[in-house]
Amino acid sequence: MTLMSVTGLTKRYPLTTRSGEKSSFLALDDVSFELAGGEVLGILGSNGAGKSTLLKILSRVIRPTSGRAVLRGRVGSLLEVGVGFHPDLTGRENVYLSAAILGLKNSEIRRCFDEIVEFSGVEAFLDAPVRVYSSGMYMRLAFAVAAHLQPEILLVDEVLAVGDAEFQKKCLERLRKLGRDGQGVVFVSHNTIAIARLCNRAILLEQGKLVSQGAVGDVMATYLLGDRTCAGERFWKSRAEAPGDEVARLIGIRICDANGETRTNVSVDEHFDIEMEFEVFAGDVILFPSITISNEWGTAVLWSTDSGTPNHGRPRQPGFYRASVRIPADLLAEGTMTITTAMTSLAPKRDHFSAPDAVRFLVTEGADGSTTRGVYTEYINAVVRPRLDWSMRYDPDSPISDRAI
Amino acid sequence: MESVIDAKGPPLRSQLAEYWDYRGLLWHLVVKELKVRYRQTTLGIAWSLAQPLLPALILGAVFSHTLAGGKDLSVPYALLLLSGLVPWSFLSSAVNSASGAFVSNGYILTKVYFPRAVLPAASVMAASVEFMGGCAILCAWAMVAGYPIRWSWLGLPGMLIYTALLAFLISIGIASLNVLYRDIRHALPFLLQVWMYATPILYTPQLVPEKWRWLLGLNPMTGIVLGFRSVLFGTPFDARLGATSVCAGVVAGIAGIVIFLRLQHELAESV
Repeated sequence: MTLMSVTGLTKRYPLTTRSGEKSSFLALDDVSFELAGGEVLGILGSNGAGKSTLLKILSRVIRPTSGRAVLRGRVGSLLEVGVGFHPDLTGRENVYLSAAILGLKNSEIRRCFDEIVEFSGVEAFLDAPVRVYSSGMYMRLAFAVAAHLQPEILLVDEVLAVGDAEFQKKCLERLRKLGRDGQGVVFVSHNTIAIARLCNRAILLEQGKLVSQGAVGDVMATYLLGDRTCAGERFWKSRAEAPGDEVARLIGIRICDANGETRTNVSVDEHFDIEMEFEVFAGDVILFPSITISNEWGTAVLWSTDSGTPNHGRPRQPGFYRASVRIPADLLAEGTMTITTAMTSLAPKRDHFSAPDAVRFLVTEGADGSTTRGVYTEYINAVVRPRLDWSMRYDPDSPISDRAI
Repeated sequence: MESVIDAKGPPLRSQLAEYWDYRGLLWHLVVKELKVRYRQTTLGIAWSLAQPLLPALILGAVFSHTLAGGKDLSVPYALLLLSGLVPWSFLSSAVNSASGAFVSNGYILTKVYFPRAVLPAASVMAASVEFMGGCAILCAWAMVAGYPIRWSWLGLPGMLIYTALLAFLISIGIASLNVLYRDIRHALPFLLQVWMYATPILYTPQLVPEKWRWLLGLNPMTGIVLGFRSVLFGTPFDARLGATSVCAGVVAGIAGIVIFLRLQHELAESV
């Protein structure tokens, strides 16, 4: 069932320049899409692309200039956690106030009050003013209220950007549950990983226009490709700009698959190559070309150099080189990865070139059970995801200890 | 339940129906405003009684000889003052706080949708709690001064509701304009002061030269103050002055509604 259909939604803001001339700014330009029940729709886009404007219109905070949206069912919007909290009121009073602002009726608040308190875990401080709360307690209580809205359509803005990892996990769980229960969720975030884990479908906004919609992996790749010049490959336009010195210079680097096609996104269970081109000017230096793959938290996942090639550990001929390194399937975890490449000589250690975050690419993972995670759906907090050999033996004759019974 | 979002916005009737759905929010906002105002004060809500009482004592001491000197007022001057100051201080504190309601709650307006007039309504309702206290003092003083309890005192709640409604309707207009033109916040205290002197609080209409007396009828507060005196003390009510004043109130109220309806959907963008 279609919960929401948006057609031609446009928002124009009038602008007056310093000289007094009138112009306008299209924050949202003819956007159309639909949201079905049970669907979690991610909205991707860089800053100023119109994501928040769209959410504000759908939650009726502002009105569109033209176009319309038809919403079937109650709409809950979570544009910020803790809206309406007053520092001088107690936790209990704030729960009531904030729930009322979010559109809950008194009877509904009373019904789920205990549940909210339990979810937040701040029972002991319920009658203290929230200004004495730690920021963690404050956030937990505020989110607990919001999490107990029971709308058919939930609109969520960057709320997950705040709070600790535990809190973010709780938020994601709650949103996923809504999707499973047949409600519709529209979720705005810069965090593409959160979107990939949560959403079935995504739309991409660019300068107010909807430029892509469809399966979340495709839209995310478009987002990466359209947004950054270093998605999938990076070749320096002129030699003057390329990183390097009188010994060696980087020409370019790219991610490619078995067919030699440049790729911006790879699946966790497929292998791919990193290809790097460079020039060597001095034949008497022992050079170590290297790559480092880092994940979106900046953690270096792996480092590798050309050990095993004939040139390794020896001076090499001046000239053009193309190095290729295979990254096996089932090694990286899902996420946005960046590759840093460098050319180093030792004794003393010196970088002849270094290109931090030269290329970005996306490692995606579907939830169909074919990858190493199997059908386990929770967030996996590990930097690599190797395929390991498990064995399991069922022994029917062995006595079972009492405690298990 | 299907709702449509477009440039026009929902029809007026469903907007009004929405206020009923949000009555719980109104209640919580009123409670919040009162709690926040008096939390950690020793005297608590008793402070609100000082609002009309202290000026009445001070102005009474200052003006009882100059303004009222020698003239036969039929009501003791300090009591006369208080009967004007109670509705006036309610109106001015209600308008003062309600007209800032959108600006001071801007962070909520830009994040959540709810029918906007709930915010100034809460400010006015919080102020009316103090108004009731003021009325109680007024009645008590009147009894002490020897005025018997009359049937006409039953008209007081009606006067109270009318005054609160007037304050609310004026406030939603001012509060909306205040979002676009923040000068209003600075000008308002002066305007309220001028308005106070233009209202027969320190004086009675009889003290105004007959030629100019009709001007008082342009002031919506004139009818309210005269009504209070007439209801409390049984002084004759100048029907023509009262009627024109009520008309002025209706005009001011309609102006407030029109301004609010025009601006309400822009508030979140300008605040």
